[in-house]
Amino acid sequence: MKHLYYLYHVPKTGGQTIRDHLDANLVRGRDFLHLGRWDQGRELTFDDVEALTAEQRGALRSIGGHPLTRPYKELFPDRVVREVVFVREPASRIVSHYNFNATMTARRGNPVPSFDEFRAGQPPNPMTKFLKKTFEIPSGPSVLSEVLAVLADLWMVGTTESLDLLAPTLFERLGIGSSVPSRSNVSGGMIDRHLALTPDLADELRDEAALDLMLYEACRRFERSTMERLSIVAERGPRRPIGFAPT
Amino acid sequence: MRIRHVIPTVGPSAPAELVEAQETTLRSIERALRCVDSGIEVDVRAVRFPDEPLDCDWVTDCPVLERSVLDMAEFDVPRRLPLLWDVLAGLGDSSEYDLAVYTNVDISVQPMFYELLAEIVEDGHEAFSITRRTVQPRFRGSSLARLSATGGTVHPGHDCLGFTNAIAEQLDPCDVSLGVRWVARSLLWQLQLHSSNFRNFGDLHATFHVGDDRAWTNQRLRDYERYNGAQIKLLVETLIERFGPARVGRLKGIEPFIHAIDSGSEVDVSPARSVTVSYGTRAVGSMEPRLIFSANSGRAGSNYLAALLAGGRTVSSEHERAPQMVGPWTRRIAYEPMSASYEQRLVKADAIRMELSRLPAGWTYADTSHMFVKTFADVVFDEFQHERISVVVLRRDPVETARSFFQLDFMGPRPRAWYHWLIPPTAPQSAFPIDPGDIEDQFDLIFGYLVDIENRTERLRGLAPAVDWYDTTLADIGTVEGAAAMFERLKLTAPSDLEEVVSTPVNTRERPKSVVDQPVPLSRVQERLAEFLDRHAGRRDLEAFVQNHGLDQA
Repeated sequence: MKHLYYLYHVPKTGGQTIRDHLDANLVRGRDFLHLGRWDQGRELTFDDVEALTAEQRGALRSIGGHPLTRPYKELFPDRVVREVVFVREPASRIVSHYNFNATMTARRGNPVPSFDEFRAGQPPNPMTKFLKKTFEIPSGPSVLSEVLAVLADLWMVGTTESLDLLAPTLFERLGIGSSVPSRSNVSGGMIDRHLALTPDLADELRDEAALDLMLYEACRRFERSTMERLSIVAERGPRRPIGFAPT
Repeated sequence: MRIRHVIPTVGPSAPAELVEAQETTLRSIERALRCVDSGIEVDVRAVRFPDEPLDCDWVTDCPVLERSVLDMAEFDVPRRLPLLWDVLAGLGDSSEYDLAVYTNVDISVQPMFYELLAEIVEDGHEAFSITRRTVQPRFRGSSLARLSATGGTVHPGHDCLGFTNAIAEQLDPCDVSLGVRWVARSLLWQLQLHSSNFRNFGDLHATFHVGDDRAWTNQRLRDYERYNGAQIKLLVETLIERFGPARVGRLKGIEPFIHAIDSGSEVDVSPARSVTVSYGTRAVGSMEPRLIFSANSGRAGSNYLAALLAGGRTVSSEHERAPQMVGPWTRRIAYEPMSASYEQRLVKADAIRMELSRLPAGWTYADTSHMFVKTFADVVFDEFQHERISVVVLRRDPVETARSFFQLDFMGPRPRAWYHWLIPPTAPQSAFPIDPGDIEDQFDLIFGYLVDIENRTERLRGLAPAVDWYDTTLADIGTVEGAAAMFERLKLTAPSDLEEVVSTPVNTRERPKSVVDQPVPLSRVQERLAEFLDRHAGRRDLEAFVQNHGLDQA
């Protein structure tokens, strides 16, 4: 039985880089499903996936995209599902999100919102909130606790910062080339740097995202256990000679 | 693991007592090298002035010190002291080692020192400080073995710092002088900022120093202090640029430097305090905030306790802080051995560590949660064993607690959420297991659970005797006198409006109780408790509950 890889895609965590590699090496709709609407007009829904024939579902190697949630597993009762999640350092994630949003807004000829305006429209702890929805966790005071309990048992948990280390193993298991392509995003173009993350701003943003910070720290731990379990070894690059002697 | 250990050594011109201390240090290191595991390579480097030779053939000789603090400024009493970063230059190429260690010349090490360092790095710490113990104030008549084995006293200063090569590459040089106040801070603060998991080992007996001369408190060295203060002020400016004022501002001891930067003045060099060091096993003046948790059953007043502690000055206190470790975590603890989920439950320790890193220096972290004894006390005790932890064992009259449970339908048949946080005595891993066939009603489950909590608390108390356990009751801390006594006992400053805090009702849960609509008179609960105790009277695992609640005297 082939494994089915579930690529849960938390926004701005590197999911697009993975999807581009799948697009370059597999046939979308046959080998893998991308549920997001970005380049296909509309989102694929639960009903769309359910409407696939058993043969079509059996041929899939992967399914991913923002709309993917755990209940989709019901549609693949005879497959062993391997679930994959990447998260990103919360402050850099929200700045990346803003830069993406601002670039897209500007390209459409609309006025670019200030970062403060953008922030005001974002929910607190967006990664935790996204995973709550993805894992169908009911609302309550202990959402993070429940999210972490799910993450603890996933096949691969990683951070965007280590995408280059983990993605080759994912690609290899999917049966495609393991080299990680350069970073990309759904726009297919360059993202303008409307805002740079300064230490002060990072501190302020982290203050607003305590749950996401805890989530990120937990995922760093889960990432280490993922690497240990999948025998992923971080290769050390050549180090520059260093001296503290006066110059 | 390749360890490179640098020591600034002295030569014949140094004071006799320092030369003698160096001999002790080198003898201790030689012993430690003989104990090194085959997987660990250690290169000990003696960094020195070229004209201060060292007669020791097993160290890597590094006569690289080409300048001293005297080349940097003028001082009333000239002392040829090396600059810390010139000594660190002796580490050489960072590709040649995995872990760099710096110790002062008068810091001796225990035989298993290097193995300990390797384990610390394998545990994931990129940087750390091991504070020394001070042993036997005189050299006379003490062998290395005796000095090494002497318990001595803890010392709050930082004189053994370790960091990975990745951290070494990111450090900013600072021209601070050795042997002068604040020197270690130039490195310590950078390690804390660069490492996501810096650890201060304040209570180990891994290094020791003979005597406690505190030469840096010498008033004749004030101009050296001014010099180091100015150098560190420059470094702090750089660190603020790199890490932002909020993060740098949380470092312990940084206030005079921030003040000097903000006011454009020199750093205040008021005389260093000569700290009285207590004799004991715990760290004093530990730089880490201490932690307070509660051991209680639920419906015992932990929400009130959190509100009470939150009133204390410099306490960050919350009730059931995230992640609460409930739901699936509770079920794992209930249905499988604790060891099975241990590694995964370390996420709670990560979350606490993250919160600590965002607290101002010197603040206390408090989390009052009945989940503590169930799902995360073990990981907290392991991960924070070098920090000061207090556990408030908070008890409430079991009859009142059980009545509150019953009125909220905890352990009841309705589809409520209690199973997310309570472990029934019928669960395989209950600390007071009862056969499902012996359960007569909801009260059996409730009392079994309350006994389970008592047993878990006692088990933890036995496993962590170094933790500060404070037994109290809701009735006690519900009075101004009792609350004040608790603050005093925990060495916290009580809020000025203590009376008001004490009189504010917290978490009475009247609304859910009215929804459940399951009133029960106290007398009925008392009867059921008596029956329960009678039925299980022969069980030894009932004793702690009976004794700690004073039921044997009732």
